[in-house]
Formats: sequence, C-alpha cells, structure tokens
Amino acid sequence: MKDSAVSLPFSMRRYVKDIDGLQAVFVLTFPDGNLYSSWTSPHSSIDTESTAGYLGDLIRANRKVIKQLDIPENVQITIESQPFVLLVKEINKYFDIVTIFNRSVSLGIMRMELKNLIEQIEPHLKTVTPSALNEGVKLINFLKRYSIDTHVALDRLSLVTGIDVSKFHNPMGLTEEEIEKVREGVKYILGLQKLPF
Amino acid sequence: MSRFCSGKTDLMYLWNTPVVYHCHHFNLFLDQTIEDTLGPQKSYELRSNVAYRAWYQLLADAISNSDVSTPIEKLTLAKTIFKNMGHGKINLFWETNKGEAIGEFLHYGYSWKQKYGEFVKRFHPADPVAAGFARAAIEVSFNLPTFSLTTDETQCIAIDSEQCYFTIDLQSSPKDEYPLVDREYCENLEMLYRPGKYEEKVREVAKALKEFTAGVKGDERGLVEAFGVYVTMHLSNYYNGITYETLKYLEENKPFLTKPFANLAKESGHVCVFNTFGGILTSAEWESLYGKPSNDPELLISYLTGIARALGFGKWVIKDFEPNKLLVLRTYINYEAPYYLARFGHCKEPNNFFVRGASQAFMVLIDKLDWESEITLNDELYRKLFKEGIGWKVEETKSICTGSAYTEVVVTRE
Repeated sequence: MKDSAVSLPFSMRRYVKDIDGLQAVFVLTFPDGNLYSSWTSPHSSIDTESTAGYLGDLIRANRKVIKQLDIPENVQITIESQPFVLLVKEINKYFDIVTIFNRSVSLGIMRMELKNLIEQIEPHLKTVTPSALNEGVKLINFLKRYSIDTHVALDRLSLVTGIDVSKFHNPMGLTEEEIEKVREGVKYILGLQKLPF
Repeated sequence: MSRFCSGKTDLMYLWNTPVVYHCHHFNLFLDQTIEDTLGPQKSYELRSNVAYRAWYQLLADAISNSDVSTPIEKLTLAKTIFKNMGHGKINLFWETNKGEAIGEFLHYGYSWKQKYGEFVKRFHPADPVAAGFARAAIEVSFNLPTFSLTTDETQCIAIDSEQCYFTIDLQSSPKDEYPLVDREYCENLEMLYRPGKYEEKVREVAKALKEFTAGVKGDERGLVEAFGVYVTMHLSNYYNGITYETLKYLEENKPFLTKPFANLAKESGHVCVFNTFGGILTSAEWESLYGKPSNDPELLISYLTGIARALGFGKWVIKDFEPNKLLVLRTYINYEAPYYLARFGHCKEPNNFFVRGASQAFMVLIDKLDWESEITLNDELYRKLFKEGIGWKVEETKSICTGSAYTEVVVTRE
C-alpha cells in the first residue's frame, strides 16, 4: 500500500484497508489545498503527487462555488467518470476529503464508506489547524509538484540550500531561517522569480 | 583526429588525452549538480578552469602531433577539433591583449535550451566548457603563458541571448597545477581483469560499435545528433575534475551534503544511460547490426555492457546476473578512477558515481521497457517512469579508488 512519499503528519493506511473498490483517498487543507494525508491502492495507476496538486485546486474552486451560490455548507460533490467516481466532501473548516472509487462500486456503498471514514479520522483532525502545516510543507509540496526531476528534487534542494536532506522529510521542523533558504532554493530550482504564495 | 580505443582497458583517447562519449542529458545534469552545490558563479569558475586545463592538455597534444605551425593554423585546428567532438561551432579572435569568442550551437547552451527551455527560466550562462576552450585555444595557438587569460561569457542562448559571446582578456587566472591523467598513466595502472558472463557477446558488440563510431563527428552545426540525443566526445579530465574537486570541497566543508551530491552524480549516470543506451538499442543503426532487440534479459544485459565498453567507459564485466532480480557489475578499470587516484590517492568511501547510475539504468531498461513494442524515449517518458523513484537500488560494494582491484556495484530491487 502506498502512503505519500514525503512523510505526512497522518497515516491513512489503517482506516482504508477493508474498503473494497477504493482506489485513493486524499485529505487536503483548506484554503491552501495542501496535501495532509493520502493513500493510493498499489494496484492503482493514480499518480499521488500530481493528483494531489490538482485536487487542491479542485477543493478551492469547490468551496468558492458553494459560497457564491449560497449553498449550505458541508455538501458532498460527486464527480462521475470512467473508470472512477470521485466524492468530495468538507470534513471541517480546515480540511476536505476526496475519495476515488472504482465505477463498479455502488454510489450508496461509496457514500457509506466515506461517512465511516470521516467519522474515524475527524477526531484526529479536530486537534490540527492548518497553521501547523507551515510554510515548509507548502514549499516542499510545491517543489515536488512542479520540479522536472521529482525523484531527486529534495537532493537538489539540499545542495542548493545547504540544509541536510533528512530535514525535508519533516518540514514542519524547519526553522524560519531554513524556510527562507528553502523558499529561495525552490525559486532557483524551478526558475521562478517569485512563488504564487 | 587520432582516436585510440584500448583493447586492454576499453578506455578511449584522442592522441594521448583520455576522452569518453557522453550525451547532453549527462552533461547538463552533472553541470547542474555542480551548480547546485557551489552556486552559479563559483561553479562556473570551477567548470571553466577545469575545462581550460583539460582542453589545454588535448590541444597541446594535438598540435604537437600535427604539422601546423602558425597561430592561425593552430587556431583552425583547435576549432575543428572542438566542432568534430560535437561541442558546437566557435569563432575565436585575438589581437595582442584582447580577444573574443562567438559560439554557435554550443552543445551545453543549445541542448539546455532544447531540454529545459520550455519549463524553466535560466538566469546564468551555460557554457563554461566553451569558455575554457577559448582560453586554452588562444594560449596554445599564440604561445602565451599558461593561466594568462580570463574569459567572461556575457551572452548565452540559454538565457535568451541571440548568441553565445565571450570576452577574452590578458589577465592572470588562478593556477591549478595538479597533474591530469593521460594515456600512459591510465594504460599502466594495474588491472586484474577476469572475463565475466556473456563475455563473447559483450566483446562482439563493443567491437562493432567502436567501428561504427569511428567516423562520427559534428555536423555543419558542430553537433552530433544521434540516437535521440546530442552526443559529445568529451574530456574525462573535465568530468572527473568537476566531480571530484566538488566532492573534496564538500568532504572538507559540508560533509552532510556528500550524500545528496553522490545521489545526484549517480543520477547523471542513470539519465545518461537510460536515454543514450536506450536510444542506441532503438536505433535503425542497431537494427541493421543486430535486428530489433527482444525482451531476452541476458541478451539485453550483454548488449548494454558492450555499449559501455564501446563508448570508452572502461573494462565493464557482468559478474552476476539474475533477470529482474540482481546485477553485479564489475569495472576492472573505468574512466573515473584514474583521475581520482592520481589527484588524491586512495579514499575511504567508494566514489565511482557514474558506474552506480549506469548499472541502475541497465536494470531499469531491462525491467521497465517492452522491447518488442514501439518505444519512444523522451523526457516525458523519463519523468513518468521515475516520478515515484527508480525502483532499483545500487550499492558500490568495492571501489578502485579505495584500493580494491575493481569497482563493483550490486543492483537489486527496491
């Protein structure tokens, strides 16, 4: 079973193991759309890192539309396609969840499994606010999303910043000075003069 | 140009200067690694200084083995060598105390633009190898003292200039006078060679490919575009100089960075072999020699090892091979080790990074590609295949540089 490559604060693995037809789960922060936790089936072709990046955009857009249309909060959005069905739901003010099921699973089962999953993980998320997901996490996620050679991006960042590469596997532990170096390093590697956040 | 392929070591020389074939993927990734480590300015200085020394060695060698006598004749020979080696076209002008160089299709700047230009904006020039060449060519041709010139690349197509332009000034540059290795040194190193598995096929492939590449030289642009890559015949002393001088700097100043550095130096080997060797195997030229490859792993590993020998990488031998499970590769000599031994003597930690990455790529090429289907090797495929990691791990269990009789790498699944 694949958890995210970068050490994320929360492991989904134990909550998803008995769910048939589940291809992937993503828990993302709002409003930044950063990946907080994920799980992808080993039999799935879903690319965790890049999918998470685009789901961040989806949940931000989703919340804006809900607000614009004055729809009551805590709605569930269903995106049906072949071969997947995506369920998007707000867990609380700071977190959204996206589950990806095989089309073959009935919608009723999907909704029930999602409800059970949220009930299990919500107690953990109650104690977390996105300020705990600091700048370091955002920067590392951004680098991994957009770098050309993702599998060696952190090694490059280590050389460019002079920071031990092991520190990037727990970016919440980076100091302010290190975060500033990481910011400059990410800009350098991606060839950007400024970052979009 | 007088190319010599040693049957004893499978190393390659132009006259007496060690050379090796490498593609733009390797060249750009290795230079990028040095740049990441030292920063753009310091890394440019190191790379151009190392390139200057390596080019000087070659050009002095070439001129002493030719019948050119006037400065213009020598300069013309130098530019021809540069072009034939696939480094692009460069025009050099020198008058008393000042000169300039104008580069067209310089390998590094041009191929950087081709590979990365669409995705990444670059802010620093990319051609320290050409800068080093310009210094060496002028000094050798006009009988100037060594280390008497400096260059500055003020325009580069990789940073969106129309051309690559260098100023050349009569001004002392830092003197680095440690020895560079040559053919005599490399060929006289003790080599304890034992044939490995599939040796007959490996030798056959190496021989055929050496014959094929004998006539390869730069086109009208001064580029060698073949097998889906831009190939250079390049200076082993350049590659080893920039790699090991940087490694030494890290060992003495920032030892905790040696691991990511080694990983990236290894990756430069991986990206090179994946693209170049894969490109060779999918080429029409290969098909005319051996037919389209099949998925036979034993045949593939022998092809890949033969290609390594043909490109001047050294005496590579398959010690053990279990398809899709294990590769034990030995190099009884490789193009990395002689430089390190001459410059620093023995080291504590193995450091033949290219061999590591190349051997990983061998297993990847056999494992991840279906050779009986149509394969398109490109950057998009590379990123897709390796986004989550390579899938094979490699350990350099023995190293010539630590005093072993051979370098040995063991590749297994992650």
